Amino acid sequence: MAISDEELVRRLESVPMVEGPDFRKAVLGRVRAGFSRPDRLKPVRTLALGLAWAAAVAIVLGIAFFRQPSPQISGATMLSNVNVTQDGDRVLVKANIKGTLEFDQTRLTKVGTLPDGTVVLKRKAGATGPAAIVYHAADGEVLKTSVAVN
Amino acid sequence: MSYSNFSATDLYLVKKEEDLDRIAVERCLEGDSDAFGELITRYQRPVFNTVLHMVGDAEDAREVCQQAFMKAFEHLASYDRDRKFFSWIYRVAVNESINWLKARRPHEELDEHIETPRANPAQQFEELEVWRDLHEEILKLEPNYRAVVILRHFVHFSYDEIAEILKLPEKTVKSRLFTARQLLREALEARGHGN
Repeated sequence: MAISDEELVRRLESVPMVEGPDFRKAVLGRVRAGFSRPDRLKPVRTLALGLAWAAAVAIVLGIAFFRQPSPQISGATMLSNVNVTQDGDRVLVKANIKGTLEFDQTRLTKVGTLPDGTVVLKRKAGATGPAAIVYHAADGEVLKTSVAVN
Repeated sequence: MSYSNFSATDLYLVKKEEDLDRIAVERCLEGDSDAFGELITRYQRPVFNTVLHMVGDAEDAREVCQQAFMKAFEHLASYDRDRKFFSWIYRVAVNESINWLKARRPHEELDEHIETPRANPAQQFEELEVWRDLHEEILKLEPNYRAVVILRHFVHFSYDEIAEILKLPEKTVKSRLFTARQLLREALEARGHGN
């Protein structure tokens, strides 16, 4: 049997509002702790962040300049219990712990899962740039890396 | 929230509330964070209900809402004080909800047994039990359609207010609402609901 528009509107408008949580304490707590400021009040923080960023870049460049190159396995990343290997257009993700895999679906697509549990991802046609791979381990650990797809 | 439903006294009160919002925003921009607390207290209940219906889960709604208020605080200077504050705060909340819904999509499960099934919002809010089917169908609507239904029928905004909140022409709001209600009617009829 058909439902009239009036009946649908009546049903929709009879849904009561629920009492939500009180956000005042949580939001103001973060505000007062200095996590956040209105844009108009930001120049000092922006300047401080800029100086900190410049100092960090200088340290990294300094270390890179003086450090001897060390041998490394090309195209492979080891995230404690997750091994990410890149082979051309394909990226293999082998996890030794239980968890869920999340990846940049704008650049990669899942091809399948090998019998040993290795997930095979493939670069999407025309996709370029860094593709994030995140593994949420069942114990709460989050492992992140990215691969360059070209 | 439509002014046509208010008496002259009510209209005065609504106008006064808008003035209070403007004063609170000014105080906040001058560094008085307590003033933002007043704005939170005034809008947290309807904003939470809007976000709850948008994302369909109370815990997620809490997170999205908190994020929306934080974002509103950080970008308060960009709020155009010639416009109503509530339109702006709702826009921030709806956009946060839509962004959250988009971000939730690209999840790929490696082990399906690990993922805990998401609870239905109606299970978390017994008050909404009666509207379970309606809620399930609302959650199946595209977020753009879902937003107009929620703003019109749950928070009771007028068409021009929804247009201002969503930054859409009023006729687009009306056409989206028409389509959304049609989809809801068809879905409910398919579930055996009728007059």
